[in-house]
Amino acid sequence: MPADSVTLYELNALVRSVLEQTMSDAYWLEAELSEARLASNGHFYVEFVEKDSSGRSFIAKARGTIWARTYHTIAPLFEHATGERLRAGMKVRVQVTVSFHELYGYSLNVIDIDPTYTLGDMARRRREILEQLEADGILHDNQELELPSLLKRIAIVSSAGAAGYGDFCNQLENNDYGLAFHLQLFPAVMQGEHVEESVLAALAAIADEADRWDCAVIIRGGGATSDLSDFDSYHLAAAITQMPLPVIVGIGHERDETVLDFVAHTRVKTPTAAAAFLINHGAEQLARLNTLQDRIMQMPRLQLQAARERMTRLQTLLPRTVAMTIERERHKQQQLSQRFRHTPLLRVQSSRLTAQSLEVRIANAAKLALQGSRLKVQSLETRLAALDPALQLRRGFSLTYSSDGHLLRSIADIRPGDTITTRLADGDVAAVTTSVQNTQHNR
Amino acid sequence: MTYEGAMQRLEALAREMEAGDVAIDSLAEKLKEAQQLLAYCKAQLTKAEAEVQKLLKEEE
Repeated sequence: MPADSVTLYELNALVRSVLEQTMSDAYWLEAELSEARLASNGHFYVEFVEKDSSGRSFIAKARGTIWARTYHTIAPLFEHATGERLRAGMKVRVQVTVSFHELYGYSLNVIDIDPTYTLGDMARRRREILEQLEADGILHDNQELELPSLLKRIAIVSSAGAAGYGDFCNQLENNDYGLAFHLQLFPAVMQGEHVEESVLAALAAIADEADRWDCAVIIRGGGATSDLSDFDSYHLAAAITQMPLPVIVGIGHERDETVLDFVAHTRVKTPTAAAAFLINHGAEQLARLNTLQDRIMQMPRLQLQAARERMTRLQTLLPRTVAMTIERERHKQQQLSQRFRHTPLLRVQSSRLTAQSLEVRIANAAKLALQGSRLKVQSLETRLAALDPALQLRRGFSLTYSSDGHLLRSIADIRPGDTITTRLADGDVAAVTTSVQNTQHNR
Repeated sequence: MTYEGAMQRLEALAREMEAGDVAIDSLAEKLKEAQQLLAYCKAQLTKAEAEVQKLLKEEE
């Protein structure tokens, strides 16, 4: 071998030593995985790629390895955080060291991974899909459909082997309310790269016979990882918005969500929750029916009862009222007839009484008048008697006359020597006046 | 008859009954209609459907 030649091994060893000396640090790398596979030896092999801004052609490519020991540490953390397994098509941020092997060449050793980058990328993709649906004006189309009161004929998009499908059916068939459901499976691949086309086909088959179904349900139980990003598809989301039936989506677990959750009429977390939703809906309908039944039965019952009570009241009231009325009328009549019978009699009686009383009054008055007159006459008689001179004469008084026959009333009319005549009760006495004496001064 | 239609009719009947608009004379008739609708709706919801379908056929 000439002195200016090297063997391939020597060259590769040189490259290796230069790389190891100049690039001994670890680098945080952002790239897309174009391949990802777990080998039987426990190591995880990937291929990193970078596309140009159009996203169509590769501008860089590198093999990468996550050694088994590292993989066992970082993979569970990644899956827990993202709900995804590392897989092709995923954008990742990984910490790598650069290595070069004389035989295997250039390779990147993954020593750590940043799940938040992948999460952010998934969210960005979902957001872009939703923004596109919004721009197309179809984002809420399915949500605007009215949920039928009767959700009974259920078209199921799932795979017979999918976790949760069996539980869903069992739950519906053995519900506590005796609700009837008519279920049919429209099989679809629920995991992996064929999800989109397969679910699209199932939805199309349901839409073709939409009048046979009350709603469509897309279900898939979540495992430790659910690879939900398979459902983050614009075409799938758009198909759901355009379904003529309300679509109920129950895929994945409690925490995860896909674009389908944002376009479905009703989103629930799991197939179990989807079954519970349908059962609740039916139970609500039953309750509504029972309430209606009560409302409808209650009023006539009350109405009939009121009518019956009214009738009973009338039945008891009527005879009594009639009896009372009759009694009252009879009484009135009696009173009337009595009045008619008594009135003329009373009138005669009263006239008679009046006449009688008048008679008595007149008699009495007459009697009184007579008595009065008699008393008056008697008193006059008495007074007259007292005035009779004869009576006075008999009592001892006397009357003296002058000689010419005048009754003397004062000594002034008499002088001594005058003859006077004194009349006593039984005769006259003639006498001559001897003296006249004034007796008044002596008193 | 659809379930929805039956429910609407039942709502209307309930309102009518509650308003006291139903004369005693037509009470029995309305009640019979309501009973049939209720039975139909319940049958639609529950597994008794087959039985009720049979009854409705007998009625016809």
